[in-house]
Amino acid sequence: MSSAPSWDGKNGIELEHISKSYGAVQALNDLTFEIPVGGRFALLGPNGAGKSTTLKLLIGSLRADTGFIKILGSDPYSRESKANVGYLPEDALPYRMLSVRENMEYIAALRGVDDIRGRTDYLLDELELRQYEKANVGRLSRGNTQKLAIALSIIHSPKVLLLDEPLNYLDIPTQEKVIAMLDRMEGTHLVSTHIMAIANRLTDSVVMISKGMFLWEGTIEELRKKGSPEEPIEKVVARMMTGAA
Amino acid sequence: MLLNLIKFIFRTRFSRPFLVLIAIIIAYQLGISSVVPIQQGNTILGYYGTAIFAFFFAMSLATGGVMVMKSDRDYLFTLPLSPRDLAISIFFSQFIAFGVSIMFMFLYLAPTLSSPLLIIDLAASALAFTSLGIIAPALPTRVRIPLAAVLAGWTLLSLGGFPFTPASAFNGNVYGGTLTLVALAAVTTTAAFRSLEHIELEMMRSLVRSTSTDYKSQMSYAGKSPIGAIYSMNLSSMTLAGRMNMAGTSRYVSRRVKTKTVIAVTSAAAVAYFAFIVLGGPPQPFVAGTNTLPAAIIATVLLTFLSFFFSQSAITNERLWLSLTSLPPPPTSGT
Repeated sequence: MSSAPSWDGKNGIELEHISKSYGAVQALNDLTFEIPVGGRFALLGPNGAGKSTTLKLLIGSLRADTGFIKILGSDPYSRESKANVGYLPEDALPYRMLSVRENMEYIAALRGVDDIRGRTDYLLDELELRQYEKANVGRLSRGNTQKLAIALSIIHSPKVLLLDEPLNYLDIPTQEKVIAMLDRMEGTHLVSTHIMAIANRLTDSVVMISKGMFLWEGTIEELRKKGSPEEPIEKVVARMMTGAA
Repeated sequence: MLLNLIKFIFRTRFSRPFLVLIAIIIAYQLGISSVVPIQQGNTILGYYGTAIFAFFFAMSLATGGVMVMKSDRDYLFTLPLSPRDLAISIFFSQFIAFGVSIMFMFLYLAPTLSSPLLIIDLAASALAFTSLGIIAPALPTRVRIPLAAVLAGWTLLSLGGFPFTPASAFNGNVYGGTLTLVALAAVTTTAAFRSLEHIELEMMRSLVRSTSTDYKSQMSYAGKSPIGAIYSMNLSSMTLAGRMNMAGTSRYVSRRVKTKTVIAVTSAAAVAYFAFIVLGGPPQPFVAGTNTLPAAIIATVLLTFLSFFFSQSAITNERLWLSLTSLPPPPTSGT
């Protein structure tokens, strides 16, 4: 890892010249981007672009081969950073041997949440999981499992929230509820998604990557302006990702 | 925090029904061993203990891994915990799983244990099995497999009276065996903790290491009719598959192998087994007499069925009748 530059306190997430390989496969190649504190960014990229690897580096599950990463000025592998970050993996699987409430209370306890019962009750009601609080997670529907996964990712009111396809499996009313809830939350959000409509609802800016490399960064409005007025934004994104004229 | 974490990891891996089952099996074993006691000094313990130790040592190293679940990667590893606490907790859960296995293997023989030192042996063995499993993923296959074979071979040397092997305590060398096993457990446990504190969390995938996703030899169905393609797929290769479940951590693994390779390997094993029986067979406590005909039948039937049942596991995920839709339609009667 190269020596990190001084932290200026303005970025929630900062990646500088990150490379990561899995054996012979180069997942990320000199990736650099920044997200300011309080920024709401979507991480866009085609399949295999390196989105999941980027998120795993940000939560400290993987270590970069080269470059440096800072989360609110901390190394993502540090306890300080992990305390600040909330992470929703794609197809998250809460502990199947525990009930909904047990999952929430245990994770809250291990995260050092002050009012564990109060926070659990709030999220049970907010995400309409109250009727399932004693249910074995292994028996939940995929939608309710996703609601629990969202609750677990925000139970400690994180300052930086990393979400991988957060609206998967949710019905439309629940999607709206989750969007409203995330909108009310403070902090820096990075949402990895394939779906432009979701990016548009949850964020206002975009970081686009392809083949492990940085492609483009800007607001969704700027992205829209890259196409003709009648052109769907998805077409613009597809053109940029594939490098088509 | 550490106790809280250990409690959490224990609860997420060992369900209540599983714990009840363990209690029932322990009670059953203790009950049976009191009703039908094995006589002190019976040589069966020596053979039995040595064989189990050799098997566990070899398998821990050859196929071991860190026992984590997807839920751990999704949640546990994202928590602000010290690597040391996390390492201790994961080690603890894996140790319990191995400890239970050891208990199942030896509890029935508990009344025959000739020395209290053997209890230390069993605890040290569980530590060593656990540690070897944790160290295993860091070793390349070309090192891991020969090392596993050497470890098994070293353990088997105790049958010849060598006093310093992990199983020597079962064969009359209690002090030498215990000393060896405790030393081995100390070395491997230290290495396992070092490995756990520095491992990339995301790489703690499962009980098995990740392997290449590419098949070395591709099957070709070009130019084949639908029925020909089905025959080709089902007769030229087999899928050896297994679903492992160890203390709540389940993993489905499968390997495709050529049918002719399976036939060659099982035939060679059958010949070796047959020769083994003819040339003297296993130690006396295990056979009432040596009759070559049953040995030949067992060798053939056992290995045939073994390969057959392994191959069936592929069918459980590929319903046979789904293939029927690709059969050519029946000829029309012309009426």
